[in-house]
Amino acid sequence: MSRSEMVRREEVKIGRFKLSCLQASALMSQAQERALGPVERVRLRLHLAVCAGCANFLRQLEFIRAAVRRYRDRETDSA
Amino acid sequence: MSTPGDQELEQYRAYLLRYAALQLRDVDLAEDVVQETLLAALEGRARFSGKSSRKTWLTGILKHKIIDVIRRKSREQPIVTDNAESETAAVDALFKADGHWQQFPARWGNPEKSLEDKDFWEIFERCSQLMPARTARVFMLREVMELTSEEICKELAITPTHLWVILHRARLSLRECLEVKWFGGKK
Repeated sequence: MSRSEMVRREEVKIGRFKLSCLQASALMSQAQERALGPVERVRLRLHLAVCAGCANFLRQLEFIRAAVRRYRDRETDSA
Repeated sequence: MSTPGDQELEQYRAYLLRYAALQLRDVDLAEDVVQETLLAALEGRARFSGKSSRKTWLTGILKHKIIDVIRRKSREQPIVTDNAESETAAVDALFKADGHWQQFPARWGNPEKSLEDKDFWEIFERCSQLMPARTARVFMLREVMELTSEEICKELAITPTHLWVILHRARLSLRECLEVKWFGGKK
């Protein structure tokens, strides 16, 4: 299996109890599209409690969503 | 209630063009789509009920035409093939083989302040251009046109999982670029 393939599989499979940062980031991204299930939420919270990098990522995802929408409004408002 | 005439609709062309160009990442496509929109609006102007503003009404027509274009383009060339390899490689490189970040996302402090900074928006523009066109269109369908997952999957005939991977990668690349080019220096 190529490394790429491995990474891709990790992105979508949430198999083991402990999440990797890659899996956590994928879950946080999916949370922007769907409600996470109770088990997913617990696992994510546990990961975020010990991973400052991912906790930063979560805040940054929210910022990016807001920024894109502000970008849209700026770009399309009449000059 | 007057039905909108030519001139009244024409004044919205520039706005429609900006919206379409943002969504489609292609000025020529954007012009075609706007032209079709204004034509459709002219033909259908008797049906304009006046309940929404003209701008909202026109934007509604435009959005449908944009979705049509994106759907058509994604069928001509499936989403996977556009620059897929280089994008995949770039995103894979953000993580180690064991799933840890190569570089932990840094604290961005109070990023909302940057939204008032003109320089930030230049960087933001450049970072969003980095996405391959097809990734950008899907990302924009979700974030700019605010279609739901279900709607996008239905329009483009892709699975939710596939959509989520596309969106995840778009966000990872945008985040990475913003950190490197803008927020990285701020602690």
